Amino acid sequence: MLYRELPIVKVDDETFVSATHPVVEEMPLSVTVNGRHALTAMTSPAMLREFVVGFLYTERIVRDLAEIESIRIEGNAASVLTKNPFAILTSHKTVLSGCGGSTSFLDAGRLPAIRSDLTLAPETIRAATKETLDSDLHRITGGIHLVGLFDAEGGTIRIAEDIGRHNALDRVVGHGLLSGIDFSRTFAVSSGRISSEMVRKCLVANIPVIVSRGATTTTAVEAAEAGGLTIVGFVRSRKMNIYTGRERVRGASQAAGGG
Amino acid sequence: MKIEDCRADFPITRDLIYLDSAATSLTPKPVVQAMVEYDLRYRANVGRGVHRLAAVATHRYRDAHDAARSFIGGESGTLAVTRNTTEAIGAVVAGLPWQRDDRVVTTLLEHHSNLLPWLRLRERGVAVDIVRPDAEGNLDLADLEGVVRDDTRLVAVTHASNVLGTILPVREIAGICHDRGARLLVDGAQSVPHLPVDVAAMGCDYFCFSGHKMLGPTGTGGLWMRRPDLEPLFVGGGAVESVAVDGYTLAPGEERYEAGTPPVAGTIGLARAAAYLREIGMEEVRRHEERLAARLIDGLSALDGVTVVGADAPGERIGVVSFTVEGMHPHEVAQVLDEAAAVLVRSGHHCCQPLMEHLGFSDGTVRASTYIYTTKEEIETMIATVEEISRRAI
Repeated sequence: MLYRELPIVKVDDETFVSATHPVVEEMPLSVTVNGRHALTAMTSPAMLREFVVGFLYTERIVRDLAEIESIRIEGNAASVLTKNPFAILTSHKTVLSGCGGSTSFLDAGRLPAIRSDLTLAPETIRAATKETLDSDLHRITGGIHLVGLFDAEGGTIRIAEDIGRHNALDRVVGHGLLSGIDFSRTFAVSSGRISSEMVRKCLVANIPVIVSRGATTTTAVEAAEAGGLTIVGFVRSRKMNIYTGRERVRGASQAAGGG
Repeated sequence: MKIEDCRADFPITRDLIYLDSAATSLTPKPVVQAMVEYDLRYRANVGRGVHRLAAVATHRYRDAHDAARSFIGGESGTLAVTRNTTEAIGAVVAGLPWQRDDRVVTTLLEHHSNLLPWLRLRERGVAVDIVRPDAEGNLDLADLEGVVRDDTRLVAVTHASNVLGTILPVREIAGICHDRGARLLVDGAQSVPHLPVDVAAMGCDYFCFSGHKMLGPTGTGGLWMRRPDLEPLFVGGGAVESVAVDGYTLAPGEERYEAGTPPVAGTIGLARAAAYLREIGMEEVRRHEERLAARLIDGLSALDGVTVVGADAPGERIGVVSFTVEGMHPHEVAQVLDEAAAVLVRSGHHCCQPLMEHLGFSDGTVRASTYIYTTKEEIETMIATVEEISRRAI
């Protein structure tokens, strides 16, 4: 169960009523890699293996799935062993920093560029956005982020829910890695804002298009430009905004007017 | 990996013809390397510390533990790492609440390690029924069915005979046991190394095996339990959830059966051995040994003055063949095989003295036992040497 009914006091104007309300579950997950603490993530208690795999990959702690020897998840702790654990094991430096996403940083020169010839019809983008946001948990609790991974034809590969959208993106990336998906033929849809962090993860995973119902940021747009990633925001009813990489959205190259 | 490519991993096979794998198998380089890596690069105690070495050692130990369990198809049950099969059987004897007039059924095919613990239970008022095979060593299932009664608490049988190489129908025996409400213990010391084993499908309640007969290190073995319903043999460090002066709560899972520091390097080596066997494939191991055993039986039976024990036993068998040479003590035969041809075999009672007496071999037998690294050429050398020995003896 990803949520719990908790007692609350409902206030309506001057009326106070005891009631219950569904609240989404959150758990801390401590991740160690070769015996060293890598992060403590606040996350939803589902798809933990996918999350750990996706996180290690998008943070470039591992370069591919084959580097991971084993993952054990027990309670609130995930322990990861890589095939050659000894480099990190004997290091005296903090090679993996702690909580709060400080592991990742944006340096365009160090980030890979997208390698993909994927193009999408606007209708595929609309349908995938609708599909991603159609979540009971989202409806019931109003407190969950969603990220969907779709194939070139708009077929759903996996939709992940999480209290954080970065975690949700890591989950679908992890799922993709574990299932041997070719990310260059996929696109991601997020229920939330497309931050530079989301862009960075897409560049590392080689997901060529990221789509959201919401906004993006200037830093995200700059990073996407540098890496050749397509950002599509504000996908609502018949409208959407293409911020970068317009060549991947069919018909967008003929855009008229504007500045 | 192809079975014929494995010999390079066993340096002893370069110089000697090792035909004593039923006593203990040779061990391949990757198993030794896995243990050395633990000792030299991440040695720490497991399940106890938070530092980096403890974390890595614990992770590798638990993975190894899981790998050993899944090698025997035991995912649905609990596995305790033991020193060997004997300790695993002892843990069952010590862990069940015996009462006077309980009954245990076992057979005369058993290794001493699956016989003595039950004989000792007689001192506590437990009756022990021992089913005898026929003169060829065949066990009649109807004989076993005849002695399993409603008050039989446990049936303890071997999966494969360490003297005759014959395989017992343990699945059928499990059916008999469960019809009468008795539990079944299977001694898998000779089966796990040589056959695909699936304890869940077998239907046994307890399954005991050794690591050192399946390419693993000495001092490792396992006790698998369908349900963790035994009282632990030892309690102490690592086996508890919490301790106060007035009592303690044991850990719920396998930890409760592993008080004290477990054989960490050994278990890691055991898991590597299981992985090595998986790379070859247990079906392939079985076929390979069946072919070698068939040739051994044919070749030895054709020699004058040589008697193969249970040569006509029907059904499948592992690569274990016992024989005698007329006019020579088994130890003498073994010694000549060693000195004349560097062929290493076991001789004597093979920890099965009552069976030897029953079959009429009071001096015991010579036993050749094969494994993945044994070749057809080695078998031919052995048969040719026995032929020479037997000619001189007559």
